[in-house]
Amino acid sequence: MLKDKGQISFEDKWPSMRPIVLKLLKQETVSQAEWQDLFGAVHLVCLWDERGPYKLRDALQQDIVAYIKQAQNRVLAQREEQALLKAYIAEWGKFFTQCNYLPTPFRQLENSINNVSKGSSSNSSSSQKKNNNNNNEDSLVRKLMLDSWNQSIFIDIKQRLQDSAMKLVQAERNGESFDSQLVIGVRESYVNLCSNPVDKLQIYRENFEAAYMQATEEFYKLKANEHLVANGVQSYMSYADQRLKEEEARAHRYLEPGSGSVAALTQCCERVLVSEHLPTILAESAPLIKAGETEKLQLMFRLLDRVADGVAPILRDLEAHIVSAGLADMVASADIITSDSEKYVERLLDLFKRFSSLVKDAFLDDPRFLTARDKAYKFVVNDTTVFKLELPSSALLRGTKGTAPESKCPELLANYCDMLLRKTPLSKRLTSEQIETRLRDVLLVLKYIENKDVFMRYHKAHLTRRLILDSSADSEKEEDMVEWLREVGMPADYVNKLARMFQDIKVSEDLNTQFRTDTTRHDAINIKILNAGAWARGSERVTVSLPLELEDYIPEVEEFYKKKHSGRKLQWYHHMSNGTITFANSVGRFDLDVTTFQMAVLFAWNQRPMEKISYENLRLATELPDPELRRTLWSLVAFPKLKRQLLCYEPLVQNPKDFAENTTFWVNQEFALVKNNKPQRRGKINLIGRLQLSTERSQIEDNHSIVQLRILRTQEAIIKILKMRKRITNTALQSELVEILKNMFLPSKKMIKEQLEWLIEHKYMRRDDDDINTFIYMA
Amino acid sequence: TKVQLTAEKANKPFYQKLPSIPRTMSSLGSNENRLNPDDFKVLVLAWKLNASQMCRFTKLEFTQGLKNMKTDSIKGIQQKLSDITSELRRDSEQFKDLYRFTFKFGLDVSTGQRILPADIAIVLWRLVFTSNEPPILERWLAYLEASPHVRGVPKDTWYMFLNFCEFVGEDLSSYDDTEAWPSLFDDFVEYENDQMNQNITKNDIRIQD
Repeated sequence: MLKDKGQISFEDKWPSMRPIVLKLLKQETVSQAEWQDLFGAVHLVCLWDERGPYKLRDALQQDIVAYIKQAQNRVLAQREEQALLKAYIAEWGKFFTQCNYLPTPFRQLENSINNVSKGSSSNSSSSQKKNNNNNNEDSLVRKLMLDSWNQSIFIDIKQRLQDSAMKLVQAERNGESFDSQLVIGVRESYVNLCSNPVDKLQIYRENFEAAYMQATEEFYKLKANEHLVANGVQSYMSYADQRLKEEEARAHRYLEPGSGSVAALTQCCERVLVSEHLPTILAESAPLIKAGETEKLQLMFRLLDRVADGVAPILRDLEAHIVSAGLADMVASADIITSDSEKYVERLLDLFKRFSSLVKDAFLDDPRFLTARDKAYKFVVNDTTVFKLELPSSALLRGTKGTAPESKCPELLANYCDMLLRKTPLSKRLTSEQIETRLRDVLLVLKYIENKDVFMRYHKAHLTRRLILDSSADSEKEEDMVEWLREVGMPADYVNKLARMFQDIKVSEDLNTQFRTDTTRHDAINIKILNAGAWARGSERVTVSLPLELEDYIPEVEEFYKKKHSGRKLQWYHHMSNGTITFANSVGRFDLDVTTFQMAVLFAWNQRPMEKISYENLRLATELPDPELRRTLWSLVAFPKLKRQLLCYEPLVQNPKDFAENTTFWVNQEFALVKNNKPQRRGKINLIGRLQLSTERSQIEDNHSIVQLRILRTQEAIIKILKMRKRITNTALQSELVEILKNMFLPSKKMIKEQLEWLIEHKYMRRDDDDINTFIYMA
Repeated sequence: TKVQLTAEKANKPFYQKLPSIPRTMSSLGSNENRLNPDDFKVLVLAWKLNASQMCRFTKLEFTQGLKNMKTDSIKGIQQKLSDITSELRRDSEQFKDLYRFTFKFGLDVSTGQRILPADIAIVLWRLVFTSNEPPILERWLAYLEASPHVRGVPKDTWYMFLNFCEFVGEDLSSYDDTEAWPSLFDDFVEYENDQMNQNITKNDIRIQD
């Protein structure tokens, strides 16, 4: 070998190497010896011939190109598309396999060329390592092979290849079957062909993917319109839905995985099948919602959720439907629901369930649709068309228009609640579980009410009556309800007061026991000592001249209580008290449950049972204020449940306001309870009715105090926010304010402004000098 | 109302320079052209003198004020007032100061008033805008006059009215009641829009006829 030094040239060696190379290219069998000879020859050429590596490369290229030309001829000989594809895939398959073998013997060649081209500075050992590591992947010969294939056969044939492949896909879309391997093969050739190390998918993407997208788009542009025109929108929706699924599956088959092609194709299909027909599809939304076509809506939702701005219009349609259907329902049944809170709440719940099941069945409880439902339902609940609660203007200074009326819903909800918790025909009819379910329903509706403070006020009034008259159906449920109110976020100070009310009643029971043991004879009376802070409603006390029998107890009770709790002041709320008296006449004896006021009036006859007493004298005797006396007398001369009234009077009037000073009253000596048209000799009747918690005047004040309380709460909240933020924009302040107050009421824009003005006026805060929309806290 | 100077004994050298102590404001004007209490210049003078109360200057305010104005004669005062008045048309910061002063000026200090009664406010608005009336002013004042329930104008509302005038110009359509404007402006704009709508309906009916 040494003596041959300098004399081995490429020209010497190539003739013996070439047959082996050609065999390899044609995939003919190469013997072990030949394979090894090739290695050796390459080595020698690279070692001894300075120009050897380049000559070797060029010769190799020539043979590769020549081989590719032959392959191309074989492929192009096929006229028929499937055959062409088959031939190409077969040729490519063979060639690509060789791309993994042929480069191996020429590795030495690469090192030589690389080393020379990199110059002396390059570290040959690292370059060697690199090449070994990278194996054949980016080897020079491999690149040579792929590039040659790309430049000769591929450039010429790719249009035909693509067209043929796309025709096959098209045929599949039209329901014809074929060998899907053909399309996959073409795609694989595109993917493997690329020798660009940075973007290995370049050829695939620029050619195959682009052609696939284009073909798909063109196909559906045409088909979508055809289908729409021929079959209508509703059929089109299921067509589009089905096609989208199909195309996605097809894309998984024919497009390169992990290349992002599938997502791009899906997007393309969505654009052509959905976006471009969006207005047509959306036009169906409102009618379908109205008709409750849940299946079609589900389909529509599935389709439109794929594209931008597809769902928002459906949400709007749903909201509009809930509002209009809800209000129409309320208006249609206005007669029943305005007079019957049970019917009203049931109707509201029925609506809620209807809309909820629509959202569930049509839109699968998608959060966006749940929000839309809530928004619209809130609107229905707080609507004031059917009935409203008039509150006085918050700024009495400017009382021109008054405030906007509010929904009466909270009041009716509280009434319904009372019917469930009090001993009523309704609560007796229902099982404990049913009552609980219904109370939970009340809380559900309550969630949507803006003026929750009104509910709280009425609920507390009802609770007060139930506790004082001891008319709760189930005391356990009463206390559960308090906790549930806490759970749904009612303000803590409110809930705490309710809890305190129960506590007072319990403490009072113990107190009564002690009072009876201490003073032996008082088993006839029951005292309730109630905490003014928890119970009081700001109502004034009413003067009344108590019957002596009752009056005598007062100092005794006070003395007893003072011994237990010195320093506590007791005030008597006679209008909340009541008792049972025995009434006897020639017909029989009857037990009457009466209010203290009724008692005071009736006791006027105790000493003179047969006399007629004028209105004026009754006033003198009872010392009741005029409106209270009229109301009390009316309850005794015209009690709805009685066939024979307790008192008679003349001249007759239509309502208590018409009693004159000289109207005379006398005890009905024929009074009796009537059962089955027969007067009874014994019996018990409750004449209390709805316990009056406040006088007429204070009922107007009640509404005022709701407003007053709101003003106070708003001011408190503004100060709280400002203290924390020091400086805040108007918009931020408004939203924080609503957040704080939402569990009580929704502060109106006007009220907020007025309170801000008041606080500025009183130097709690000021405006920023440079920005009228920014407020600054002033300590 | 009579404008009156509380002039006790004039024993200060500065005062002695004046030919005679003016007993009333009207003597501050020349014979042909005396100043009326509702003259803009009186307001300007009060502002310059930093008067604490309408229609009345204390001696201290008067002497100190004239010193600040660097003048000591009636003629000088008149000249100065004319200068300041024309300056106010150009200098919006100066005008803002005068405008804000006017609110304080209008309050009845003896009763510790904090809110300007509407009738006084109307007069003062006319007065303070004498020489540069905002386009919206007449409609605003007409609204106040037609709204007896508006009893008073708080300071913030008074101050903000100047911003309001600048902001709306003569066109209320740009007004946005979600911004932190005082509620009285909301009411005013709502009132104006109501009026406008009524007019439109009337016209519509006429066209249909």
